[in-house]
Amino acid sequence: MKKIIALGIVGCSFIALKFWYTTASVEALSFILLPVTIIIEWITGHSSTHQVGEGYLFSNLNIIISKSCSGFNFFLLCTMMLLVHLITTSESTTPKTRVTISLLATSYLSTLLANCSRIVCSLKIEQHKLDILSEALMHTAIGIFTYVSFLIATYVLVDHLYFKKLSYADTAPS
Amino acid sequence: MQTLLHPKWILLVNTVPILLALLFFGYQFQLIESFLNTDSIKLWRAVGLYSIGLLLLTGIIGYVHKQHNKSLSYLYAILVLLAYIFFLFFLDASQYKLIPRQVARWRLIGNTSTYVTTALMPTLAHALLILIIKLTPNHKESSAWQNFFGSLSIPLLWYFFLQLALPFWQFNARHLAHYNLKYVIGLPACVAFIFFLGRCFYIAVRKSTEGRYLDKSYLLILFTIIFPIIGLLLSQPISCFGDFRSGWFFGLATLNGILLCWEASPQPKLRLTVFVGRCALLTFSLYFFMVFLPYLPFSVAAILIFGVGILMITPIILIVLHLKAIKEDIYFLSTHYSHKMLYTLAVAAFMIIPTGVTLNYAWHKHNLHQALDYVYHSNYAAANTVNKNHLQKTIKSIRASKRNSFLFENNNTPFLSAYYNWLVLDHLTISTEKIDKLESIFLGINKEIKPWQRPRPAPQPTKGIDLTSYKVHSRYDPDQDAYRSWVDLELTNYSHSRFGEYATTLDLPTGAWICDYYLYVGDRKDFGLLTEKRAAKWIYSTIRNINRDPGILYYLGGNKIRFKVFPFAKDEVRKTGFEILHKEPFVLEIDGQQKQLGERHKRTSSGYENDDVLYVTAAQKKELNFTARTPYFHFIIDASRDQNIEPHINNIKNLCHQHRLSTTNCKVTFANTDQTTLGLDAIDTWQTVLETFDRKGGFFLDRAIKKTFYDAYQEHTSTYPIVIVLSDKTDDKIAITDTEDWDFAYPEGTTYYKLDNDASLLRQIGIRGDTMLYTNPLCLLEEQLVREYIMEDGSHRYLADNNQGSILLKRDHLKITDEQIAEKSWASGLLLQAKHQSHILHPELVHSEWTSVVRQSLRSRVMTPLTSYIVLETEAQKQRLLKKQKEILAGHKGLDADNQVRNMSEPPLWLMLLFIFSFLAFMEWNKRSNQLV
Repeated sequence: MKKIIALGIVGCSFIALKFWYTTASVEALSFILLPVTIIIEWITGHSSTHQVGEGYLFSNLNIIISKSCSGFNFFLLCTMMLLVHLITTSESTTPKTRVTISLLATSYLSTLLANCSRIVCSLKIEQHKLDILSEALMHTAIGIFTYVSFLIATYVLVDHLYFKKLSYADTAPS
Repeated sequence: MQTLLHPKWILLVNTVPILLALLFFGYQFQLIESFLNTDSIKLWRAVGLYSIGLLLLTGIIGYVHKQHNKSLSYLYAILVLLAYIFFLFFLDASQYKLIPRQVARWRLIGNTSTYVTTALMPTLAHALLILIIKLTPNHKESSAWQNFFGSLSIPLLWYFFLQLALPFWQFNARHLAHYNLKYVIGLPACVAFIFFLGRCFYIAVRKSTEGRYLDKSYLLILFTIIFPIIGLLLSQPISCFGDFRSGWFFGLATLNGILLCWEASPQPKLRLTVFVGRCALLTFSLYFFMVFLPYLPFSVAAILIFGVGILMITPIILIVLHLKAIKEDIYFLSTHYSHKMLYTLAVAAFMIIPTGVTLNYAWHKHNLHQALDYVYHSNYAAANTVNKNHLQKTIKSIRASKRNSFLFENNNTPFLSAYYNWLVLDHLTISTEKIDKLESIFLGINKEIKPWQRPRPAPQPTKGIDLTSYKVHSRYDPDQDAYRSWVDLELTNYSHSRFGEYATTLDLPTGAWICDYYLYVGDRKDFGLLTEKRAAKWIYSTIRNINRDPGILYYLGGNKIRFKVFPFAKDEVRKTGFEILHKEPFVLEIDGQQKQLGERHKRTSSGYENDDVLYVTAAQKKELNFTARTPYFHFIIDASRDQNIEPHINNIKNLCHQHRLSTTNCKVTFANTDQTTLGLDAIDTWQTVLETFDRKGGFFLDRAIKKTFYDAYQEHTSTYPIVIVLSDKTDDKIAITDTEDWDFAYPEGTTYYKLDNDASLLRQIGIRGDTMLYTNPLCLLEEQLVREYIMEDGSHRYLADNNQGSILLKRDHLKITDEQIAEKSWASGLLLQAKHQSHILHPELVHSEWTSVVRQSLRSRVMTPLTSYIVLETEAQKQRLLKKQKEILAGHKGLDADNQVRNMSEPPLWLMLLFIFSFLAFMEWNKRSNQLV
């Protein structure tokens, strides 16, 4: 029953955060937008300018990293996936705070990496002007491929790093 | 069959199809939203909400049943039947409000009503099956024949009702009669018919395990081979269900039937092969199941009228037999092979046909793009690689999608055509004019244009609107060593027209560009907006229809500029003007009035040169040496489909003989879709040349002429071609509009001629009707003096001696960076003009570069052949223009214009959720399988 409550809390938090995200300003998402922008600047070698209320504009690349590119959806999904996995896998009914915080940190790092990879891949692949899909579809396809790859990689990594240890610790004689 | 009562089936037969239907609704709505009024939009929302309601209703019922470990009940079946039948009624009754008749059918993804019914039908069928199972308990003996006669009685009752009862029924309210008969009586009758038929089949299948019915091989052969093939044969004359004429359908139907009738082999390897084949062809059975699902209720009428309604039910029986065979295979094979291997093989085999279809369509898309590029952005140095047979199929599909009827898919193949339109055409269409052109060039099919099919002629400018004041004000800008001249005009409408339009053509010299524009709207001086040319012309034409206040400037071809102002009331005087950036002074003539721009005797000091381009001023040109290039005849022979070449060859021989022409340098090109060129000396080998030609194609003169110009330009020799066309086609069919764009490469001119059939006359082909006749072709071979410029690499360039500057390309491929572009800069105009010349030589570059060139033109505010200046009256018009520009720019690859910064958006959340749930479900399944092992 406690697990169901925990899952319910995760689900409700997901919905609440999603609602917050729809009304959040670009500036409120700086904690996730700014690092992504800095990494993109570093990788591409082009600088950006902050457009208040809109995002970070890379005029040389003709792109803008705005709220919809923040990676917040990925962060939500990744966190939810890991927490659900933690709740359903762990024998203990109350997940440890330390593990939860570690998972949040892992999600955050994974989000930064996934989002930067997605943007860089999009820029690189769209340069080649492949004629298979329309530009919008190609962008979505690249996004899905990158995100799903990172989600699976995060899941597998975290499963090995945390949960195998956790389940071992749970089943080990005290 | 009892497993069908498990609540998990709701997920498969209800949740997934309704989610797909919702996606379908969403996408369809996005495509046609701009054509819908408020009421229609509200109705679309209602449909969306109703779908979500149905989804939640069935989901909650399923969840409650699952929690209580109960099988699905009567209540669920009846509730679902009522709710869904009402939904179908609602959709049918409001279909013309949801998709108004004015929405072009090609904009839609396939046939909406068919696809939605397909999505809803599994739930209805499942609900009906639940009723059948519940009403046919295992312990009670039931007769299949009784139910068969029960189902047969429904159409018979209908027949008697229509023949006997209806004539006595005095019911004149048309709508009530329509809906009462169709829904109140018709639907329950259909449900009862399907119920009895389904029950009959259910009993038969149940008893088949006792070896009483379906194990009889003749029934199996009937439903898996004979009925499907008869159905496909009948679909040819009766094509209301779609176009299934492809040989693939017959081949796959036969193979599918053979595999399903294949006796269960005790040899594991043979059984595995049959299993893989059955899994591969499951998509075939599934496809026809989905196609015929929505027509299930119509089978009543079909049995009544044609007696072949059983063929419409065949796909449903076929899919049941197919799944049964696969299930038995898995049961047998699992004793020899692992489950993992079997399921992997099954999924891989299942994907064979969809992957093949997708790859085939992707190839069609590639082929279509190649064909369009060959015609509109041709690489003159590359050969034609378009597959004509595939292009023919693509053109057929495009034409079929344009003819799509509202209810039935007569010309389309259900689902596949929609998928094709989505993948190949990206839900855009190609204009009929372009399709005709592709067909004419690649297949040699020239459609006869009926008088009513001809495009409406463009509205003519009003006579009587005169230029009443023409002033110029020139200012020398020492920073850029160029002039900036404002031309101020006053136009007066002396005609009686209340909505007159002024239009004129300006002829600017080389090195002069328009960089600003204004028009007085009332007392307000509105400055022009520089935009992408097609978007500007589109908005001008729409505003022209509703009599508002636009003015427009755009390039016609070469250095000719069209200038239009609209509207003029009677005796109205309108003020307008534009600014010209120019290096050298010149005289501008407008409507016969001439004015000097810049100071006549004061020439600017220098030209311009960078790594890519060179501008030679008129003064510098005067210092260059005169030279005369040697002209030669380049004959282009129409070698298209059904053309007789021999008379043209004889004509050339006669011409040479009569005028003692030297054949040295002269060339002959045999042209249809492709072009092959040889020296006139080798003309006798024409039969060998034509053997290598695919004579299917049409006469693509445009490319033949431009390729001739291109090849000659690349050689930079002291000779130049005079093109003479030999064809049976009339002059207007061989008139090409834009050879003037090549004037920069041919200072002697780009005029071309047609040789009459008796070789006595050469006719100059002019697009503006300026036809000239030459009886002595030798006069065309008289040398003309031009100026010779020697480049740094020692190559020679030839410039017209016309008292104007000239632009020379140092290399064909230029790269202009944004840093080189500045606002109202003459040098920016020069670079953009050079880029345009580069695109004339290499149209294949336009596709990838045009958006950046448009963007640079907008940034520099210098009008180029790709952009246009327009004045609009209202902010709403400007917004519409920018939206249209965005659509046009988004239609091509490459960077967008300044205000089209790309947003690197994340993929949609729902899609990610779908993937993650699938992944988690897979992990859970994997974990459980491992635990079982």
